Amino acid sequence: MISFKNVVKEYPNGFNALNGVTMAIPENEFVYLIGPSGAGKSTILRLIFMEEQVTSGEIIIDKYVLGHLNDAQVPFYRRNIGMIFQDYKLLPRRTVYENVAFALHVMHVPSKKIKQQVSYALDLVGLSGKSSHYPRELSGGEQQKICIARAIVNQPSILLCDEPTGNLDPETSWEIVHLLTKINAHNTTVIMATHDTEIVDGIPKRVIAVNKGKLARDQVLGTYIE
Amino acid sequence: MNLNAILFFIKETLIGLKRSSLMTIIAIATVSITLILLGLFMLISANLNKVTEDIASKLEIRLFLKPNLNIEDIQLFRRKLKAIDGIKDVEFINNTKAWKSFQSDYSHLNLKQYITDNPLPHSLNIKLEGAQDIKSIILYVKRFDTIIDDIVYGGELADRVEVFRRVMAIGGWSLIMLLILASLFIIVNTIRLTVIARNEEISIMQLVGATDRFIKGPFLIEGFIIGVLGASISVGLLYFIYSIAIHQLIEKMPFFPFITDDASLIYIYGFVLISGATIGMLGAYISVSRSLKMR
Ligand SMILES: Nc1ncnc2c1ncn2[C@@H]1O[C@H](COP(=O)(O)OP(=O)(O)OP(=O)(O)O)[C@@H](O)[C@H]1O
Ligand SMILES: [Mg+2]
Repeated sequence: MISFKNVVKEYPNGFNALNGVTMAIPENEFVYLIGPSGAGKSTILRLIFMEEQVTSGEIIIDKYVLGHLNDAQVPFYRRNIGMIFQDYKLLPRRTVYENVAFALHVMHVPSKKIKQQVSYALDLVGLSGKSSHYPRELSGGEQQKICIARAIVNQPSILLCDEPTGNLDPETSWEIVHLLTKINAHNTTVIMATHDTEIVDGIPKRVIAVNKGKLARDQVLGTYIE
Repeated sequence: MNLNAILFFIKETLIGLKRSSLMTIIAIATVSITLILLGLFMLISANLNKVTEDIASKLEIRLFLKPNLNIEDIQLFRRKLKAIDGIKDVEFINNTKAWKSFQSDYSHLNLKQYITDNPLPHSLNIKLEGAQDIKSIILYVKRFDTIIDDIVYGGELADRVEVFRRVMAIGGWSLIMLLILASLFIIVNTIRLTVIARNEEISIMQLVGATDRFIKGPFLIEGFIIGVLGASISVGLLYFIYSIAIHQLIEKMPFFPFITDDASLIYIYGFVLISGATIGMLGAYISVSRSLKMR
């Protein structure tokens, strides 16, 4: 359960990216987060991921009231949330396998279990054949899939995706979104910020539209344009 | 922490050390130089300490007498001294006997070869009841300058060695503190280079839920390795320098009780090693705490 109550986010330079957002997203939902550039989509994801703190209002994620978490608790909170990035954020000097395993090392998972979980995640994204490759040897779509594998390798309850298809051709974009719906079907809440009209209209899901830091529309099985 | 995480740390650390190898070498060298000085000061201090203690523990005043005194006069003077309060006993040391015992004490010096005539005068050895009387008794016997050629007592020498030791300790420790600060500064910056080189990795680690402790671990190990490597080099050199120096000193001044026992040396070398490890880890901790806050 994700719940925003009157969330305001003012960046240090004084810019108000969110001006009172209230919404609730139940478990296992798939949500498209849409809106024009600068609307505040990434800001919403960054707040959920605790890369940023709210200025006022309250965010509750499952059993966590985010404002009450201290610095030492943040890493543990984050382990319940997967995040995939438009620029992938893979480690260039590490292989595909190591990039995914990295997320588990960080949590002190024992070696044997790491092997199991990494091969499961790589299988899911269809890249187990490339586990010893380096990121630069992969296409953009493949790198995005590795990023997804890393985000879900420890089976988080929420997956945040910031324009996961932003840099990809239509065919690869469809692959990625199908992958995300598959992950969603395995009991993971997925929130996907996107500008991709075709996808939003092609695989109808709940649509939350933001504009100028406010909720503009919230529609079950919505479309990109109202 | 499990074995897996430790292996992961060590691998990370080696990558870090390799990436900034020149700075690492400079850091190790600085630590070595600092700790060599630390070790030398500890060794010198410990030896001076022991010498002072040794001298001071002998509650004795040695009166070297003028030549050409006859034995009867000496005995008279001896009985006069013995009557004084605070003096336990006065022993007459015949110069022939003294020379023989000196030769047998230091037989390895082959004194006979170089010195044919007995160089020692007759002397009186005053044993005191306690240290507190020593000043007044010295003042008293100084009046007999027709009989006494020279007065030697441990207290005075011990005082002088002690003053020297204190001056050296103040100067030495200030210098060492400065050098430790310099080492820390260099280690902080060496590690900072690694932190910067791994900035991207660190931020990704944070994104996938790494705790600060997990992120700091490899850097602390890096600091530890720099410190211990530097300290090992200095212990090696100290061992080498001290073995040679002490050998020479024992030959030149065989009557001083220099430190040669393993226990004292292991204590000093161990202290140097632990200091190295501590300086390294402290430097790494300062560096990584500051860099991580800046992110
Ligand atoms: N760190 C920051 N400091 C100051 N202002 C920021 C910061 N990050 C974002 N903003 C501003 O906040 C507003 C919302 O940004 P956000 O990144 O959430 O938009 P978005 O909806 O994700 O846009 P896009 O579709 O282009 O990714 C923008 O006007 C942006 O300039
Ligand atoms: Mg954005």
